[in-house]
Amino acid sequence: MLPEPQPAPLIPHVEFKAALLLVLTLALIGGFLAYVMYARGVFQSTQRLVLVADDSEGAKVGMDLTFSGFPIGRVQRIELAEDGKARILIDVPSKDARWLRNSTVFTMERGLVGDAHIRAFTGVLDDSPLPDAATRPVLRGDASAEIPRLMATARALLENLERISGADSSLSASLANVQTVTERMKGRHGALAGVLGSEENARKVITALDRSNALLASVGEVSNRLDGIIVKADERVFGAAGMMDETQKAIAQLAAVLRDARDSLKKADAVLAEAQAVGANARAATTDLAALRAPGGRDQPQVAVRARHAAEAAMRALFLVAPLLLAACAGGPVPPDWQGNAQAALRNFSAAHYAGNTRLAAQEFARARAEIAATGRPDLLARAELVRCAALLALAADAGAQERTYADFLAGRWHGLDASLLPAHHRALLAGASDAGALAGIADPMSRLVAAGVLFRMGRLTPAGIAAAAETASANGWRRPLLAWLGVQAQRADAAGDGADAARIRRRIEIVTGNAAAP
Amino acid sequence: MHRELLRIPGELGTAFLEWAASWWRVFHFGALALVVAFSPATYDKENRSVTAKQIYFTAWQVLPWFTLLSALLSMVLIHIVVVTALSYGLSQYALEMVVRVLVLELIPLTAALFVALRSGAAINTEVALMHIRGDFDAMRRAGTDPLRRELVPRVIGSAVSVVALAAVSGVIALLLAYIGVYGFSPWGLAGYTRTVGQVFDLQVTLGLALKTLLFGLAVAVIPITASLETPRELRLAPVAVLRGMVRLFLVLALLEGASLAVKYI
Repeated sequence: MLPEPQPAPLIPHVEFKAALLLVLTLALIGGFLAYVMYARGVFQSTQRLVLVADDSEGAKVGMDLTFSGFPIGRVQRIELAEDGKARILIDVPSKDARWLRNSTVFTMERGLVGDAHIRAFTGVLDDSPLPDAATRPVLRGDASAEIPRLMATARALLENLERISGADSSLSASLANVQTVTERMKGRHGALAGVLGSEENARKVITALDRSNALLASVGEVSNRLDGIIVKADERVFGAAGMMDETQKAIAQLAAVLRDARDSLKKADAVLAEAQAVGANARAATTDLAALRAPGGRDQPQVAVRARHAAEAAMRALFLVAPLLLAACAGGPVPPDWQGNAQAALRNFSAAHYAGNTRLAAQEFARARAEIAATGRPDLLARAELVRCAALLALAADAGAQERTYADFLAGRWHGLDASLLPAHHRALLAGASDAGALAGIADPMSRLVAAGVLFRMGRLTPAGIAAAAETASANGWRRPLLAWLGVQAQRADAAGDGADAARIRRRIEIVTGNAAAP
Repeated sequence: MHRELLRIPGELGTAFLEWAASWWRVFHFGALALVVAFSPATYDKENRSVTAKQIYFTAWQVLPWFTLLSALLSMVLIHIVVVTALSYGLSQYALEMVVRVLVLELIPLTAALFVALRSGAAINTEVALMHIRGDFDAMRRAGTDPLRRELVPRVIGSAVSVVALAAVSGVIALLLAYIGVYGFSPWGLAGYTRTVGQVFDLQVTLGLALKTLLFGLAVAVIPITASLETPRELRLAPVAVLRGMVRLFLVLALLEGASLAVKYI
């Protein structure tokens, strides 16, 4: 037999402890239930939202509706509607309902792992709020639905790969070709043989390369020689006493020649002025001769002598001018009409004059003058006058001592000259009177100009004499002598370095030639 | 031979009938105990004292140790689950998994097993000895209902014990889960509340309550029934304990399996 059971030891406050435990347990359970009810939103006021989907797969009761990742509602029920669509009933707590607006879009996505997610996207947060019990469609996206399509694509890809890498595929054929080429490359001529297909071709290419090398070497020699030639040419052209030097010298000489030519032209200009003066004299002489040829006209020897002197001077002038005229006429392609006409008229004039037909001679000469005047060239006019003068001189062949003396006077051969045989207004000149005074003493302006010209030729004319001659021509309005004397004055001023005087004279020249700018 | 063949089904049938009658006695005693437990007349002064003593012995004494043990176990499990979920990039499911595994399944089962090992075996032995010694007959002769005086307080005590242990450990596990997932930050509270709310829907909560109560009843009722149907021979007392404990563990496993099946199938 077992011993009698011992009486239970006395436990203090056993009933209190039991009650405490019970109360604690009940409190825990009650608190937990309250917490769970709070967590499940039992104490929240909610509004209902119905989402309509064509497929409810993935959706389940209790899942969240999230907005920006925050759960704002919970699926309460999923039911199949009469039209065969799934209706997902969601309770949204009133405090979170403000995130849902009329324009809110709902999506249900399902990833490869985990539940589906119902999301709300509200673009316009100040839109009108979503009403209670609103029904909205939900857009579905299912990643796992993509898997079959993905598998089909992957299978097609693998089949393609298999086809590509098959034994009879073009890829393996290409690889075989590559192997052939690399086999050739392993030969004596390396990559060249691989590219060209055989050793023989490679050898040819190498030979060709060698030949081109030789060719290039000879080309290098040629270019070296060319370099030498270029250096020499450089020396010849640009070196000391080279072509350029010579050219420069030639240019300098040419400049000198031109300068000389300019001087010659100036001289010719002066001579022309003189010739015109002579021409004027000759015209006067012609008048005198006409008087002489008149009955009883032989009693005017002085005039004849003067004419003869003038003719002599004209002839001299003609010789001086002739080269210029030749230069002017020579080389012209076709002589113009006026030349022929003027020549013919002058020839007829001479013939008529020698025949003693004075009227016809005058007519012909007038015609020649008209032809020449058409050119507007006083030098040619002077030539015509000289021809007439020569014709007149021919008649004065029997000139006496007076005429010879006058000719000598004009030529400047004054030594041993008999002053008594000269015209009275020229005697003072011969007597050695000062130029200005002698010139001033000559009353006849033409004679005064002749005297000035003679003195100028002899180099005895002073600046005052030149000025007097210019003033004489100016006072009588004789443009040509005036230009000649003004030219002489300008030259002198230039030589003296008197710039202001030269400018003043040039202005006068411009006024005379009509080139002066309008004041 | 023929008689032998006839005897086997007869024996099988007798065994089945005995087995069915035994389970019937279990359910009958359970129902009887519940009715007695819920009748206010049960709780006179003497009975209250006995019940308080039973609650004290089965629940109060083991509560600290069991709470410590379950807290340690919970911490380890929570840590394992959280780390594993994190390493697989599934940390958003860690909390739910912890709550479901620990609070719903492991902790009630552990509490039931703990009470069964500590109190169930003791009740089994004690009742078996009292039955063999004829104490209950003596009580009845003395005008005391042994069911009310000795058996129902033990059933109440074990039921309260299982429920209390499960509740305390469950709440502690929930706190540990929060700390394990969110740390000591208060900002995870909203998400934690949502998850808890999602896990504990009505069916789950009711299922948990029912399962825990059934665990508590089974821990006392099955050993008592097993003891009472033992032939009154002292040498058969260990057999009664053995049969009672085996049947208890079988019932606990069946309950757990049934609960899982209802929830997840």
